[in-house]
Amino acid sequence: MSYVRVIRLRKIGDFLLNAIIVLFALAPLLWGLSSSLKPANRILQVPPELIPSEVTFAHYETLIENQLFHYMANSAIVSAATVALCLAVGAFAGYALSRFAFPGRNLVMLAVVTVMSIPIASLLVPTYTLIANLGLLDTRTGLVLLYTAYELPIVIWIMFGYFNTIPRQLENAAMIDGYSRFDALRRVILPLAGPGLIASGLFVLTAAWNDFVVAVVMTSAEAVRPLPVAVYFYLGFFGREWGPLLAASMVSIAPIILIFVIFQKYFVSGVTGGSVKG
Amino acid sequence: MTDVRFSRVRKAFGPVAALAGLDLEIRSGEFVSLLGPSGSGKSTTLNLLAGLLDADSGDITIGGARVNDLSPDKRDIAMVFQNYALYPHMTVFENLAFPLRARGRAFDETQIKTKVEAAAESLGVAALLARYPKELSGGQQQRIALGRAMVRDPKVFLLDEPLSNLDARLRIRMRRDIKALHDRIKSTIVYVTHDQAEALTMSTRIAVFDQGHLQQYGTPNQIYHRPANMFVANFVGEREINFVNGAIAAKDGKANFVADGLTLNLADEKRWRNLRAGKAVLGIRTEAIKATRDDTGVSAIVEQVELVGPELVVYAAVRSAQLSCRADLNADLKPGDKVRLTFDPAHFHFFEPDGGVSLAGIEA
Repeated sequence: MSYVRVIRLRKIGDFLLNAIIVLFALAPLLWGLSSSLKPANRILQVPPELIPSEVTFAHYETLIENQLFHYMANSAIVSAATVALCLAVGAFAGYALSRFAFPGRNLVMLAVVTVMSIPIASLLVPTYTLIANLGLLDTRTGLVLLYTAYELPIVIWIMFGYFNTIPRQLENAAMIDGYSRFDALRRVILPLAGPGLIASGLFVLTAAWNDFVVAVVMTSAEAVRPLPVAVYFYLGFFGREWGPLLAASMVSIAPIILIFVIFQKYFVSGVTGGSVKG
Repeated sequence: MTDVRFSRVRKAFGPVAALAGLDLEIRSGEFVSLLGPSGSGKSTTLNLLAGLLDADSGDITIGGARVNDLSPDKRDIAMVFQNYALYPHMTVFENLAFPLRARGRAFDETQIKTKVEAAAESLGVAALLARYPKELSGGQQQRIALGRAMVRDPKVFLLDEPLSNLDARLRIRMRRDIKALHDRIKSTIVYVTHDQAEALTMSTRIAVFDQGHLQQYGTPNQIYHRPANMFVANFVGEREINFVNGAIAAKDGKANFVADGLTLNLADEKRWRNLRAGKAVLGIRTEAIKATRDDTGVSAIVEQVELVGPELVVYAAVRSAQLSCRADLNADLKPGDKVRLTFDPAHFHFFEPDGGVSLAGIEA
C-alpha cells in the first residue's frame, strides 16, 4: 500500500472520529436551540425537525415577562465582581510567588494546589455556617466572596506560571529606568501578562456564571437569585413546558460561548504559557 | 562627581560566597570592565551596584553617597541587559521614552520627543522609531537598548554582557561604537564581560574576577603585560598562555630559568635580575615564542599547525611539555618537523608554584 493511501485513510479516520465527538457534544445544544425557536406544539413532534419550519420567539418573550433580565443582571454582577476580585488578588499573589523568595513560600504553593483539589460540595456546610455568621446569606456579596475563595487558587496557579515566563530583566529594566516595583508591574509586567489574565479570568467567569449548587444553597430571595437557579425554578413554574425551559438554557450558556469564541486564542496561549516560549 | 566605590562588600547566596569582600574604586568618567568567567562575581558586582541585589555587608557609594539602601529607581543609573530587555508591547519610540516618563522626571512631551529623536539619531536608529522590538534584528535591538540607557544622561552606565548575543563581526563593530559613545558622553561606564578582547579594547581599567575575589585591577596594558597571578595571565589573551614548571638558578654567575629540555637566559632583562633562585612557573604567551628552521634556539618537534591569517600558530613539543608559538607563513611547517624556538625574555612572567602569585610584581 502506498504511503499516499495510508495518509488519506488516516485523515479520513481522524475526520470521522472528530465528527462523532462533535456530534455528541453539539447535538443537545443544537436540539435545544432549534426547539427553543419552535412553537410549543411542534417541539415534541415526530419526526423531529432540526431546522424549524416555523420560527417563533414566543418562548423568549415568556422568559422576559418572567424577569429573565433581572436574573441575568444578578449573574452578570456576581460574575463580573468575582472575576475582578480574583484577578486583582490572584495576579498579585502569583507575582509574589513567582518573584520573591520568602519564608513559607513553598507552603503557600502547596496550600494553593491542595485547596484546588477539594470538591466544592464538601465545603458547602462549613461555608454556609460561615456566610450565615457573617450575615451574608442571600446577598450577592456573599456569593462573590465564596466564588472568589473557590476560584482563587486556580487564578494564582495560572498567573504564577505565566509570570514565570516573563523575564525578570523586564521589570529590572523598568526599575532601573526609574519606576518603583509597583509601577514596573503595572506598566510593563501586567500588560504582558494579558493572556494569563484572560485565561484565568475565563476560568473564573465560567465557574461563577454556571454555578448552581453554591447559589441555590446560599440564596433564597428572588432579589439576588442568579440565572442557573432561576432556570431551576422555571422548571417548577413552567412544569413540562419545554419551550421556555430550553430558551432559558440557551440564554444561560450563550454569553459564555460568545466570550470563549472571542478570547479563545488568548485562552490557549494563557493556559499553555509555561510550556512554549512565544 | 560620579565615581563609584565598593568598600569591603560581601554577598553570599546560601553557603556560596559570590563576592568575598570587594574593594573597588571607579573614577568619574572611567570605562571599567569587570572581567571573569561565569560565577566569578562580576555580574553580582554589577547587580549590587544597580540595586537588583542587596549586599550582605560593606558600603557601595555612587558620587560619594551611600546607595546600599536605595532602590534601583533612585540611584540614577542606566543599564543595558544581555538580552536587551526591551519592552515588547511598546514601540521603539515608547521604549526610548519610557525612562523619561518615570515619576519625578518632569519632561513635557516636546522635550521627550526631542531627546528620543536625538538619541535615535546618534545611534542611527531614527528610521525604526515606529517599529516593535520583535521587528528588529539583534544588532538593532542592541542599539535601542543602548539608546534607552543614554536617553536621560544617567550618572553611571551599567552594561551586562551587551554584545554576547551578537555575531562575531557585529560584536567587533559594536565594540568601537560603544567606545566612541563613551568618548562622546564621558559618563562612568561599568561593563561586565567574559570576553577578554572586549575588555582589553574598550576599557580604561579592567577588574579581573575569579571565584568571588578581585584578582587584579589595572589598565589593559598592566593586565596583559603584568598579570598579578597565573589566573589573570591565563584568562587574558586570545589563547591559553604556556605554563612551564621549572626553577630559577644561577649558572656561571648569571640567572637562568631551567626546565626539562629548556635553559633560558634571564640576565639581559633587568626585571628578572633580582629574582631569587628557587622553583618557579614560567608563563609565556604564544606571540613571545617564535618557531624557525634556524640553527639556534631550543629544539622542539612540531605537533600541530594552525593558520591564523597573517602567521601560523605552531604547537611544538619540548620533551614532555607542549608550547604554542608563532611562525612565519612561509616557514611551511608540518607536524613532525624539527624546529628551533626562540624566546623573548621581555614577555616572560614568573609565578610562585604554590598560589600562582607573580614573582616580579605588577610594576613596570
